[in-house]
Amino acid sequence: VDVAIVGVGLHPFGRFGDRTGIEMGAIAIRRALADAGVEWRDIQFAFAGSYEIDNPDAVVALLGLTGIPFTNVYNGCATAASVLALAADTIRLGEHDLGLAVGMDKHLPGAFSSDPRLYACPSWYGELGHFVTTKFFGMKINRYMHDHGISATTLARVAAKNYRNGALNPNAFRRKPLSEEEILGSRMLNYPLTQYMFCSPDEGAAAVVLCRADQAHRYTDKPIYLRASVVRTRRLGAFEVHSPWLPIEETAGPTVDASRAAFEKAGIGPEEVDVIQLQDTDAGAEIIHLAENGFCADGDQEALVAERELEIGGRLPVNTDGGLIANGEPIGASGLRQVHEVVLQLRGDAGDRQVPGAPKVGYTQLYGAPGVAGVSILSL
Amino acid sequence: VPALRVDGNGAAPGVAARPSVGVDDLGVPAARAPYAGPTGAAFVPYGVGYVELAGEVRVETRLTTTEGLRIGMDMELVLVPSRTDDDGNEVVTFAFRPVGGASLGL
Repeated sequence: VDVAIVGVGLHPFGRFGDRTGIEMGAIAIRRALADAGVEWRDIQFAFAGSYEIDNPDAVVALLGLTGIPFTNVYNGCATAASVLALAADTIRLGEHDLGLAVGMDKHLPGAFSSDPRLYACPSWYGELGHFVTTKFFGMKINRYMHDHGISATTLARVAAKNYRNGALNPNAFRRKPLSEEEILGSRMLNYPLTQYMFCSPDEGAAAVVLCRADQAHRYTDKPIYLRASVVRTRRLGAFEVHSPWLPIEETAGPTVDASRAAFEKAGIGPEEVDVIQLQDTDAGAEIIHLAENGFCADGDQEALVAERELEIGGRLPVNTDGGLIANGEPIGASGLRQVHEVVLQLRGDAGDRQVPGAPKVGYTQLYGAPGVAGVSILSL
Repeated sequence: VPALRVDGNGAAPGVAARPSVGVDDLGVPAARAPYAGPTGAAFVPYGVGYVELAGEVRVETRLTTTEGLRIGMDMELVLVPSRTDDDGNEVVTFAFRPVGGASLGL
């Protein structure tokens, strides 16, 4: 059984005062239901992703108590990709015909933190100041720049692009363009990454209505098919967040594994993808992920960025809605925000940020601690 | 201690200028738990990297300096102060410094 997306809905990302996570979730769900032309009572099952909200399924209190199977999911920064994959698999298994994937979160300002012991790291690792995700991203891109000839200017150009794209997106957190000079000149947080090269945890929600592909035309004349939804975790030798030690022998990370599996399942190659959403925790992550997902060779990014090929009008449009850098990262919702953007792009409904040339295939990728990645491939 | 090399599996010396802080526009958050070193005005940026114990394993470690680091340079093991415990005792940790760094004040 193939799976189609017939409705998408978004609560804007940013800061929303006293509005609760489930209120944002309910707004995103109602928008997705309206987009699909269905009622809440029609939904046969749901999965919800969140980090901060203990029971995101409590959103039913705002929508109606219909008794459906409603499962909560947390899977690090790949939470939303996991929600989507589980919802899609439920339809693929023939269990249900029409369901919902929703993500919502409401983070306090400041980088994510935790007790290192919950990540199988010793307490001293945190006491020393090693238990810091931003530091990992700094080290990873520092080594990558050394090995593959990527410049700090390229980091700034990627961040500037995402702020520019965010300015075109009414749902984005950061809608003010920033110059490369402002980005390079902002406070150095984790060398070589400056403050404006990083995304921020924030608030928001996103929802997707899925159904059996052979029923999609009941709901829409433009279904978007979910060709693959894959989650992978790290193997020994991958360089990952919170690694007190590493073996000498290096292994590809979970993004590479998830990407290869997704392309194989979809029967689609990277050269066929028209619009791309990548995990840009920071500008360096977008650069590395472009290669890890098979869209270019290591080092090609320097020229691709200089030639503006990652822009909305370029050959490889990346993070057309501003990505995490402009939208922030409400963990539970982030990956469904990516899917929302790809669906709009493939429908031709992305307005000021529409990728020209009628894109037919879209791609989304999430990555985060402690070494988990999610990839989905969508097509007309 | 044999000479060790700063290296890493995709890693390299980096400067964790502000551990466990936010990157947000709501003020300047301070370093926070689980970090147990000096915070606020007393906070001092520190170097971090992966050091390869030649051919054996790569260890994530404090570096004694944030200046003059190069990927591939030779490093040596030292003990440095990490924090002060509740009883006022100084707690030390392992760290690495560039070989010959002692004479350069690193």
